[in-house]
Amino acid sequence: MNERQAKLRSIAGSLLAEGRVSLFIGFGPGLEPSRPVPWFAKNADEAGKLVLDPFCGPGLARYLLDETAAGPAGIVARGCDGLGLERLVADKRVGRDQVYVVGVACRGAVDPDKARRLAGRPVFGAEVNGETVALTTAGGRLSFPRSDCLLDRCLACADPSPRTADTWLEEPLPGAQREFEGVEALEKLGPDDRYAFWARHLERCLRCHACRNACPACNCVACSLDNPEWLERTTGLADHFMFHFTRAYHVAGRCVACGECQRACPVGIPLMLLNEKFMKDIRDLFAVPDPHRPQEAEPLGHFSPDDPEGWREGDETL
Amino acid sequence: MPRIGVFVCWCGLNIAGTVDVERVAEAARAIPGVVHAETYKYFCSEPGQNLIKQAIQEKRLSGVVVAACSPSMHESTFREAARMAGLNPYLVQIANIREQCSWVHTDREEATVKASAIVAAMVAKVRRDEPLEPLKFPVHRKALVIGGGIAGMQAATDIAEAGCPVILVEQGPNLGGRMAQLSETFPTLDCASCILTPRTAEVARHPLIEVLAYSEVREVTGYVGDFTVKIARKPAYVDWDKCIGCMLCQEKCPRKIPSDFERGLGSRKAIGVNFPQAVPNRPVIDREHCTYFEKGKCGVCAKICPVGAVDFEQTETVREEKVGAIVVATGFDVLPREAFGEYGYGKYPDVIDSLAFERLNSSSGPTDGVIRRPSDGKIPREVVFIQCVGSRDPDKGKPYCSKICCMYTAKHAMLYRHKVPDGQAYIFYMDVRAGGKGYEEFVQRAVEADGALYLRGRVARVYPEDGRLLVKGVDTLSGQAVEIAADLVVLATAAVPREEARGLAQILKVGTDEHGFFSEAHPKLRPVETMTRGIFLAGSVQAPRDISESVAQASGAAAKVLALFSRDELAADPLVAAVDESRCSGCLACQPICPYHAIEPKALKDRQVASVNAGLCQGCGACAAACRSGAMKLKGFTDEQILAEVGTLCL
Repeated sequence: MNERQAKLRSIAGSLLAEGRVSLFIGFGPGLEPSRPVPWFAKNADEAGKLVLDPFCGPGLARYLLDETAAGPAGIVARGCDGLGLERLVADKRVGRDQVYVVGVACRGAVDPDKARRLAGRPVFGAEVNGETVALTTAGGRLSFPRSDCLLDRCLACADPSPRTADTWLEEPLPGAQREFEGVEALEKLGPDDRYAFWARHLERCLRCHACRNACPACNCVACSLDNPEWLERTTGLADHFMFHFTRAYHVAGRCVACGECQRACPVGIPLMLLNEKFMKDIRDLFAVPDPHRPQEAEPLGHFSPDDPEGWREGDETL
Repeated sequence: MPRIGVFVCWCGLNIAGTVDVERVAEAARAIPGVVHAETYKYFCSEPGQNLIKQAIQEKRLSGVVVAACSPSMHESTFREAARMAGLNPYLVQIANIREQCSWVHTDREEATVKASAIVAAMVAKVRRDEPLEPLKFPVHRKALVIGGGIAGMQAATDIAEAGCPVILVEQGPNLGGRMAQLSETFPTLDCASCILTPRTAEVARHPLIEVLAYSEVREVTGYVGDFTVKIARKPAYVDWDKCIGCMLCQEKCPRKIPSDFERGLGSRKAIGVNFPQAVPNRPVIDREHCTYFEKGKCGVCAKICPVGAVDFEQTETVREEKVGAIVVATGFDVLPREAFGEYGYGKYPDVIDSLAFERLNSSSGPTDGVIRRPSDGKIPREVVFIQCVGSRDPDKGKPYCSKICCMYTAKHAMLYRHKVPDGQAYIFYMDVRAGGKGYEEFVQRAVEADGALYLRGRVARVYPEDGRLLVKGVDTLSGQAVEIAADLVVLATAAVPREEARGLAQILKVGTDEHGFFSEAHPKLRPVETMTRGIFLAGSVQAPRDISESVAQASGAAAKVLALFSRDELAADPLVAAVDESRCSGCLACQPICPYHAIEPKALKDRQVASVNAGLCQGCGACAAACRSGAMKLKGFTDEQILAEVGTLCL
C-alpha cells in the first residue's frame, strides 16, 4: 500500500487533534483517481482521506493566503509549494509562524491529460520509477518515458523538496540548477517570429485569470490588471499582450517557478517562458545563480548605496 | 466642468519659426474643456505673464497649459504667475514644444501636428491635476559639521559667524586634520601651522561652535531641518574638564610607540597629544599600547597628574542632538603601503610616502625639520620622487587623478633644495597637472630656480644596493632607461577616502562613487549638495582637493546651510509619494527600493500597509514603479495622469 500517504494522514491527523493547526492543506479524492483535488482537512476524519500519489499535481501554496486567516494551517509541501510559501512570507502576506510545513521529496507529478492520451483509456494509478512511469489501466500496467507523462512544470523542476520544513515525511532531495532551454530556443528566433509565436498562443487566451489566481506571487490585495485605467475589459490580442506581459513584469524577480500559471491555463499558453526569460536575465545580469528562489535582497527589489551609479558617470560626458 | 486655458508661446522664432503657433492654439480651442487659447511672443516676459494672470482671473480658469520651453526652464515662473492670480500653482502644466518639438524638427507641417498633440496630452493631464500645497517643515537652526580639518573648520566658522550654533565633531583627539601634518603649503610656501593654528584657535574659542573631539557620529535619523544625531564620545581615559593641559603625563609616560601622526618616523607616548599646538590641548590614552591596560600595572600618568584627571574607568558616552543641516568634511587618506611592492614601500625604510616627507620637513616633526633619511639619519644627497603612485592606475583600482600630488611634489623638491642646497631632486611623473592660480609658475620655479629634474615615465623597480636605493625607470621622452642611485625615495601615493567614510555614508544615507568618495547631487550645478536634502559636502570627502579648493567648497556648503537656516519653515515640493491604503497589500516592496529610507510600515486594524515620510521623500518615484497594485502614487505624476497623457498622445 501507499506508506507515504498513510504516514501523511497520521501526521496531519495528530496536528489537527493536538490543535497545533486548525486546518491541513493537502490533496483529497477527486472525481477520478487521476485527478485528486486540493483538500482542506479540519479534523482527523478528514485527514484520513488525504491522498498522496503521483497524480497530486496542483500547487497548494497559494491557498495559504486565505487559509491562514483563521489560525495556523498545516500543509504538505513539495519544493514548489515551499518556494510559494517563501514568496508569500517574503511579501509579508503570510506569517511563517502561521504555517506548519510537512516536507516531502517529490519525484514529479503525472499530468492526467498526458497519461490519458498515452494510455488511450482511463488511468487509475501511476508510479514514477526513475526515468519511466508505470500507469495502471483496466488493461493492465503500461510503461512510458517520464518525459512524456509528467506535468510540464515538473519536467523543468529543480526543487523536489522545500528548503525548510517543520517536519519531514521523508528524506528531502537536494535542489538543482534550473535550465532555460525553452527560452534559449525562443531567443534564437527573430523578432517577427517571436511575435508570431506569442500572437499564436495569446490569441487563445480567455482572460479567465486562472494564471493570476493560481500564482503565489500574484498575492496583492488589489490587482492593477483589474483597473480599467490600465486594461480594458476587452479580449483583443493587444489586451492579451498587455495582460500577460504586465503580469510577467509584476512577478519578475519574484516568480518561484512553480509553473502553476501554465498548469492552470485551460488553453495551454506556455506562460512559464515569459517568467523564465526574466529568470534567465536576472541570473545572467545580476549573477544570481537561482533567481527563482526568494533572496534576502531581491535583485530587482532593493536600492544599495554601493550600486554603481553608471548613469551619473554617463551624465559627465554631456 | 474644467475651464482650461492654453497659452502657446512663440519663443521668438525658436518655436514660431518651425511651428504654426496660431494653428496650435486653434486646435487647442477645439479640445473639450479648453475655454481659452492664445499665443504670444514671450510668455515668460512680464507682459506675457500678465496675459496669463489676466486670463486666469477673467475666464476663471481651473487649469493652465503653457506650451513653451522645457519645464526645467520656466515651470516655476508660470506656476508663480498662476499663484499670484489665485490659481493653485500645481494646476499649471508645461507642454514642451520647444526642446521636444520645434528645435528637433524642420518640417513645419509635421512639427505643428506634433505640437498640437503635445498640447492635447498636457490638457488631458491638467484635467486630472489636483491642487497641491507645499509641505512645510520646521527648521532647527543648528548645524552639525563632521570632520575637524580645514574644510570642516571653515564651514563651522562661516556658519557660526552668521549667528547659528554649530556642533563640530572630530573623530581624532584634536582639530586640524591632514593640514596639521603638513610642513609648508603650495603655491605660497607659507607654513601650514602658521595659517592653521590661528584658525584652530578661532574655532575653539568661538562661542557658537561646540567642538566634540574624539567623537563619532553613530546614528542620523530625520530629515532636512530636523535631523536627530547620536554622537558618541570615545573614552580618552582622561577627564578633559579636570585636565589643565600641563602634559606632565606625556612627559613621564614610560611607554614609547611609533606615531601614526608622524607616519611611523617618530614616536609618541601611550598618553598625550599628537603635536604641541594641538587643540583641544588634552591628552588621550592609547588603550592598545598602554602598559596599565595591558598588564594592570604602571599608572604613572595617574600618579603624576596634579589634578587627578586620569580615569582608567572612563567609558563611551552618547549624546543626542537636534540639527537642521549637516556638513560632511571627513577628508581623505592615502593608499596603504601594502599596495606598492614594486617600490619596496614598507620593506626599505628609505622608501617613504609624501606625508612622511611632510613630517621630515616640519619643524615640529621627528627630525625638527632637518631632512634626514629614516634608515641612518644621513642627509640624503639624491632624492627620487615618484608621482601617480596608485593614482591614474586602473590596475590598482584608482583610475582617477589624485590632483594634489603634482603640486606638493614640486613643493617637496623645492623645500628639499632649500634645505640641502647641493642635493638633487628627481621627479618621475606622467603629466604635470598644475591648473590653478599661480600653480604652473610654482612648478616652473621648482624646475628653474630649484633645479628639480623632471623625468617623464614610470618607475619599474626600486631595490637596495650599497646602502642606497637603485631606482630603475624609463624616461619616455628620450626613450632611454634611467637608473638613479638615490638616498631617499618619496612616493606620491593616491588619495583615497577614509576607511570610516563608507560606514558614515551609510549612516547618513548618502551615496558614494565606486571608490568610496561621497557623491554630489550634480557634478557641475550642485557640487556641495548630496542627494539627501540638508546634507552637504566640503573638501576631500567628495574627491581629492587641495586646501584652497576645500576652503572654497566649505564656504559654499556653509552658504547652503545658511540659506536653509534663513527661513522659519522649509517649504518642500508636494510632489512626493503617497499610499492608497485601500490598495496596499503591505508587501513593502517599496521599502528596500527607496533610496531615502522614507517608507515605513504602518499598522491598520487588520493588516499593515506602507506609509511615506514626506519629509524624507524626494519624489523620485521608485516606489510607485515598484508597486504592483498601483497603491503607491507620486503626487503630480499619478498613473491616471500619466496614462491620460500617454493615451491622448497615442490615440
